[in-house]
Amino acid sequence: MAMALNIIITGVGGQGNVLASQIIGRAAVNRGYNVTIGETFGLSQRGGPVMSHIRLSENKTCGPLIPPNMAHMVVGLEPLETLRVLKEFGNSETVFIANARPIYPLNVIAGDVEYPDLEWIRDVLDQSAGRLYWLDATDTAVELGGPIMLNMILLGALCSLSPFPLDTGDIETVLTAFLPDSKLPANIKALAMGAELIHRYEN
Amino acid sequence: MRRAEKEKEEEGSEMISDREGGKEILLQGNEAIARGALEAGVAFCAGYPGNPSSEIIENLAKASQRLPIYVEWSVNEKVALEAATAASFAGCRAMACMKQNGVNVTSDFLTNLSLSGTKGGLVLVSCDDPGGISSTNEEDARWFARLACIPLLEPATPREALEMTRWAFVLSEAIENIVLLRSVSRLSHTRSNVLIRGLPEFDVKARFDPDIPFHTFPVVDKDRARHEKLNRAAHDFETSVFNSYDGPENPELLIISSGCAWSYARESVEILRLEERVGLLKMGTTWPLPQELLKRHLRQCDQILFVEEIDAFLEDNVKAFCADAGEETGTKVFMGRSSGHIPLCGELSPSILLQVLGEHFDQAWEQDRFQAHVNSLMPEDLPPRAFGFCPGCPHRGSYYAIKTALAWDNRDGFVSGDIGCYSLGLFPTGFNQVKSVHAMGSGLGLASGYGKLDLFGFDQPVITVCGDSTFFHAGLPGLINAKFNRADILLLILDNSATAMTGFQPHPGIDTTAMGQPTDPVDLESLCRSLGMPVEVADPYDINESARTIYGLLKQEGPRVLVMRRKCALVQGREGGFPYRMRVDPDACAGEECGCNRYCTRIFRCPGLIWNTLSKKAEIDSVICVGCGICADICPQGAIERTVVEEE
Amino acid sequence: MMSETGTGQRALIDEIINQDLCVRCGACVGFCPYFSYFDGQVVVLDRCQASADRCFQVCPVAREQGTREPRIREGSEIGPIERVFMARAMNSDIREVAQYGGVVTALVTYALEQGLMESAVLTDRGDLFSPEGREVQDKSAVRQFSGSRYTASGGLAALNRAVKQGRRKIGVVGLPCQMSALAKMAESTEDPRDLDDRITMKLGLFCTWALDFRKLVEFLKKQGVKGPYVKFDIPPPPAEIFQVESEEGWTEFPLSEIRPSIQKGCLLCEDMTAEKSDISVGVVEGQQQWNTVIVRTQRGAELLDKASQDGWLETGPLPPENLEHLKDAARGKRERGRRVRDDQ
Repeated sequence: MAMALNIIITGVGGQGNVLASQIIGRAAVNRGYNVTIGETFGLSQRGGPVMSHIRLSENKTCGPLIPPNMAHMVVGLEPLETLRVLKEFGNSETVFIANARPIYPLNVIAGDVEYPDLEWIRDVLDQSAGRLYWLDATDTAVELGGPIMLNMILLGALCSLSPFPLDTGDIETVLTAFLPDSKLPANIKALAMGAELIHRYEN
Repeated sequence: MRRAEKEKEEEGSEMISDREGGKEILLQGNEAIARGALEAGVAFCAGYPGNPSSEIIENLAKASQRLPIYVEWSVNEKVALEAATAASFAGCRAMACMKQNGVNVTSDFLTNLSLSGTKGGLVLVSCDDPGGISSTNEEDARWFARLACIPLLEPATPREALEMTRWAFVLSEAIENIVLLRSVSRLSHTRSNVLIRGLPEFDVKARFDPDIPFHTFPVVDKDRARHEKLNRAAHDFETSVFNSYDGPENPELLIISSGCAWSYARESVEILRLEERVGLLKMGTTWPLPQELLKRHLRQCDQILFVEEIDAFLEDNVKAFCADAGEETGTKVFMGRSSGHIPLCGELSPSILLQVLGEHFDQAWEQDRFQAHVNSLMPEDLPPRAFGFCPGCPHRGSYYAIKTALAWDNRDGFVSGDIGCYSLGLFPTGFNQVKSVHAMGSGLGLASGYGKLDLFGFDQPVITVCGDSTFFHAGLPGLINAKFNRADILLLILDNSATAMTGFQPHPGIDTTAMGQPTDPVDLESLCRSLGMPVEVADPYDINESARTIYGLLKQEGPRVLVMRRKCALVQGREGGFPYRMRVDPDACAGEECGCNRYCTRIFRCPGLIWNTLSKKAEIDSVICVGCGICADICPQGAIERTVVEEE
Repeated sequence: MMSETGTGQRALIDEIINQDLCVRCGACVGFCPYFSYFDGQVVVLDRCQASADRCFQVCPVAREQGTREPRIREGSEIGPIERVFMARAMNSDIREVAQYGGVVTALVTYALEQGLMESAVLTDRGDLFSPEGREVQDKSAVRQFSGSRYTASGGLAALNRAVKQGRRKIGVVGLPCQMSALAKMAESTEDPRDLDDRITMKLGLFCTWALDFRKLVEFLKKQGVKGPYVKFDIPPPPAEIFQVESEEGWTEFPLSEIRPSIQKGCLLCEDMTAEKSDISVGVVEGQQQWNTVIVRTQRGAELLDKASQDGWLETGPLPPENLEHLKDAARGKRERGRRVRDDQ
């Protein structure tokens, strides 16, 4: 591993971003990593963007912010927010896992500004990033019981890609520690579905 | 995942209150501060919620379920510090926690307390918000350490936050004065591996010794004593482990840094491979300055760059020190916020540091090419994500009713705003109704002033809005002032039964304390009525009736109160949700042909009500809509249908 | 349908509302959500930003381009006339509640009963706040709405609401400005509703001017007359007084003290007898129990004839000197309107 592995999870308030980053953090601590997670949420409850910077290192403690263009992996829960991350934190090697379903900002709903064309977002990411996985993960989440499963699906997708050093087993261990038994199967299923989405995308 | 989050929180507090030590666990900066206080055997913790500080008291409140400590959400920060000080005077270790604005509220007490001194270790925690991400300002609370002549500690990492908090109590007892520990958002909300130690026995006995009073007289003697205490702290700081140096013996550039910003400097030096040229002095004890330590490092290098969050605190203080110590340290070039080498305002970041260091050493930042590539694909700025009230938020209804009533009234009326979610009334989500926002309770004070301007021809009606928690915090004096001075004032208390902005902490209007114990809530209406003013109650979800009520009140004179009462939609959501299912009847919605010019989405702006660009009609986003039902009353065609969901 | 070239809401706000020329007819209210009539005022609730300017097109105060005759033509003072005479309601209960002969109340009640109207747009007496327009379907309720308000009361907002409710046979009772607005609505390129088909009867009321309700209330408050106000009256000349009935009984003021409360927009108006109506109704000087009636259209004549045949109205010839007086007064208002408009 390089100096540190830098992962960004980005989305908007209510998408389970913070929870996903904490689960990664705990799983990584269990595996002996030095973890730093910087969270930016401000007024997230009110529809604002939420971004977590997750930094895993074998031997040092990183700062809470990933330096510019040094993200290795980006998990985007929302397309516009994913694209926002590209210029500031992406580079030509960055792996992007992007959910394709937009959550429209209020100023878009109101007609003040236009939401960028989704195909355009996809193209820009595709032409800039190292790898792009453009997934209809919200649809899958709804099939699995609701949009709130989205974070687990993308976590599963993340686990199946290099250079992410943890596997779904590591995540399941953490989930088992704090999910009630009744909720566990659906979440584990979501992790598996995430990996499945990546598999399908690659083929 | 809501259940999971709840359980996760419980697990988190379990970790905070774990009596065993010797483990490395993932803790947020604020959790680390809480754990540090527990490891120091803190007995009494008080605070007022405010981003980014709230999690400290929240976690301690949860820990109080397992440990014999007392934790409260106080009515405001001054009372929090006073209550905590009582514990200190009685020999207990105590802590008061708040955001930067809260320190202002404590300041009158703080500057006198530092004269009287303390007994049990007393720590004031301020979590500052560089960039004002969730604040009305980006104030640097460190100046209060200078102002009150008290020691200042600045942790840089969660691990250090724990260590420093624990030591802060020791320091406070050693010099018999309060200690300021200062965090910033980026630290408070960062999670990292933290080594915890075991907890002590909480066997403290509180007793005030009547033979040892605490006061400020004689003032000059006490002031002298205060400076002597500060000198003792300075002496300790010279050898503190919280100050460290990393770099060559004679660097080309010496960076003096404190807090979270230190990590940006360190990483930037590494990325630019400047380790052999740059020295990095990390300061954890930033007031009083450890002068000998500084002299040693200043002698090594003539180019000094200060990297600190928010103001040029270290920068200005070190410069002043060098004016005295110039003979020993020599002439220096100082760079930082004051000099303009680092942006004067706003939060720092690795990006800024890379740029500053890159320019200083004339080294290009290799990722510029990638940014240029992205820029060529993405020439325009992406649309920002505007803040707005949550779907179902009662404030949307309140401001809609206010907007309507003020328009009906037609005398150029306006709203004097206050601090809370409803500050967003400044923006389109609140129909831009709010015209001023400053400090907690200031909306009322301003309104009581407007209420006396009739003498000078002022004839605009003014509504002041105030949340329930804010009203208790600092609103009440403004209202009493209006009453006593016979000011014309219409107060709308936006009572959503929660301190919603900061995460639903209890306040005096709620029947449960921070520690989960039942209590008698203060009744808003009785309180206002006891002041002898008329009080009405309206439902923000009934926008038409509320508007009529507000209009009627605008026509009256003297101090008067309207309580706009509805539970915060997030609380309502947790308690079982709303009774309605909403639908836009596509036959009734005339779409682009209506003549309403997309009124529902363009003006009303609820995230749950969206414009379908294909059908060119409005529709409900069923993923987002919570079913509050307000919007059924806004469509000129009556196309928005509200049906009661049958109980299952 | 949306004009790309219109001035939008801006023109109405800049040229009428902000100039305090609004006469509160209500034509711009209730069609779109951006205007509201409340407690005697038409106000802008929100900025619309569309380029369509129906709101301005239908405003009766907005100056019409190039339509004005150079001078007032002899015989045109009171507009088109099919017939002019005097009448009163046969029903004494109606006459009791009516300010004068009760012709309007009788005609509306009769039309609703006969199904000639599905509903009628009338003006209520006001309650906590000012009088305002109401749609009435129940014929027995009509008499609660009789009597003059001396304000326009945003009545056409109720028409706009009634059209939204899908009513097809609506009768409208209103002031001359409101009759003009109805004509403009029917002509408007931006108004997609077939108003000519939906409005089956336009009953116009004579009007010299109307009062700005809020100014009036302010004046009355200053004079110590507290609301709610039950009834206003201005007895025919030469009384020169204004009467107000409140809970404390009747109070009188010289008309000169009320004049400052006259709507500025009314002084631009050239129409005293509601020339764009089917039937216009007013007082008869010196005869409190009768109304002057001008029938202007075929359908107006039909309604009037039926009501008379069925015993709802009693008619008689209007004395020639009354007609001359009416014409003089109408000419006076027209001249005033032209003068004020030219001085603008």
